[in-house]
Amino acid sequence: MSSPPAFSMSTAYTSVDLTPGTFDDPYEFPTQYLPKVMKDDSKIPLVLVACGSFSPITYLHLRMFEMAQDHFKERNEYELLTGYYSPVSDSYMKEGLAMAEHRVSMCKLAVETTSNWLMVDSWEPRQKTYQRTAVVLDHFDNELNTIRGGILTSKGEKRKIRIMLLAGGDLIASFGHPGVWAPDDLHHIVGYYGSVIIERTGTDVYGFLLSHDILYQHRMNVTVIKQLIHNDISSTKIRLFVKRGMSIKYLLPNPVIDYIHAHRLYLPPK
Amino acid sequence: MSSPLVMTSTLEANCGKDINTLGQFDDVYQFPRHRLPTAMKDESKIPLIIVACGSYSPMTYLHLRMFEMAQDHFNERNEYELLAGYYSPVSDAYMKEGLAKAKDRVKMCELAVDSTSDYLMVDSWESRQVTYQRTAVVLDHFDQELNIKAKGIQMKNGEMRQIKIMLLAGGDLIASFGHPGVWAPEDLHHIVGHFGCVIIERTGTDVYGFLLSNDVLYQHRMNVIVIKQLIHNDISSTKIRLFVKRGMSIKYLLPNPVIAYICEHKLYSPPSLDS
Repeated sequence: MSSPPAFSMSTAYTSVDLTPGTFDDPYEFPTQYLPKVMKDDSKIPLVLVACGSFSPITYLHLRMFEMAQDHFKERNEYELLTGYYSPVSDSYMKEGLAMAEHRVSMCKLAVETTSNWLMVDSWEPRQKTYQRTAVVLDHFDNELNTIRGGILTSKGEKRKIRIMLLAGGDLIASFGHPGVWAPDDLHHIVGYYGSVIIERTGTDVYGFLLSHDILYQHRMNVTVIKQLIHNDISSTKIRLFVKRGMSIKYLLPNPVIDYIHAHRLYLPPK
Repeated sequence: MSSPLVMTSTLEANCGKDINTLGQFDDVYQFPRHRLPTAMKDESKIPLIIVACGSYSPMTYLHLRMFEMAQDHFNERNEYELLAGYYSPVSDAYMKEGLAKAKDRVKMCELAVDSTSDYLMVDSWESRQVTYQRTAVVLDHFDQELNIKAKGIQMKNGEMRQIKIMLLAGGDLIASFGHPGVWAPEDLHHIVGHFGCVIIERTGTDVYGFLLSNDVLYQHRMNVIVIKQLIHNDISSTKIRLFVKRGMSIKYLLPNPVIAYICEHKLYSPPSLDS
């Protein structure tokens, strides 16, 4: 079994704080699940970053990391150290975006009550202007490698941590839309960093990689993971269900559901 | 209501007096009522109980979602008041590939509903039977427990009202109605005509088309409620068993207490050569 010991949902839940995180507290890059030493020096240390709206975070978002973890465990190239959610800032002005503080709080509730290796970074959502994904990855590179010098091998040597963007098929499909992504950014994201793509059943990511010049050029840096269980829990639908008073149970963690109700998120305007 | 004569003879013929003949269960059988309300919220409606039959090897979030969708559906309309829901895991005699022992499957269902729900229960009657019980007989058992033994639900004026019982089904169960030889026509009439059916329609399937084509279902179409599954969430138990066998994560596909149980009891793992 690759999954960590199960949490006692009831005790984890009752001690959970549903007050929204405010950005009055100073920013700190989270490191509590970042190991200090590698387990296996023969591998490349890897951290995955998932950018998105997470309005709200769902079991699908949480599954993405589980699938990625399984994938890298089975192979010998990378040692996946940890994963971060980086919720987009409010200045993205997308329809359905709850306030950044709420989205960060919900992500934190989700990972704190259900996981023991994922973290939420609030740098991007604290920014007043929209930060391009390439810049967000640079921020992680700065925090992990420049400021902290990467990770130690068992021999005590410092090794740089490889950073990759974890993305669903929709993000990758957007790479093909003209005008959305600057070519330099795509080279930076896929060429310099790398991308792990969760392929939805029925989509053809490899076909898309073939057709897209920049992705094809850096195809060695693109890892495609097949989603074997068709579990398309979309945040958009969840917001709609909340608006219509329908149940969202079993689509996202209970503490997040309670948070949504406690703060009356996604309800129709009175 | 079905003739009591028909029901008791069917039940006695099939289960015999000793309910724990399989010897797996530690405790004596009791029909669960702890989440069954003692009064209706709205007496202008028909009180309804939904029963979901299946293997539940293991139970998943999809199985739990089915009831949520049904609850939403009935909340929006004025005809029925959904009182509670029951999972009825099939007995081991069904001999289906991948079936964990009945006691384990019942326990996993209980862990799932106890940790996440306030209106769902698990009934182990069917799973404790030595022989396979047809769905029509399982529904009769619920009718017996809820309406004959307990006489239904009590109204404010003291009268007892019979509870309507319906089968909750996914599209695959309904599609099997069309396979020749699987279902006896009298059973179909009994299940759909006498009781009723709530069908969760998977996106992409055409349940209404199927209702049109199947004589028995069409005859009782007034008793068939179709609920569209708006979020495509196909967490199959088969895949989960496979993931466990291959050492892959099943997190976020089913409740954590069930995952812990699977781990602890080493269910679905291949026979180990070395650890």
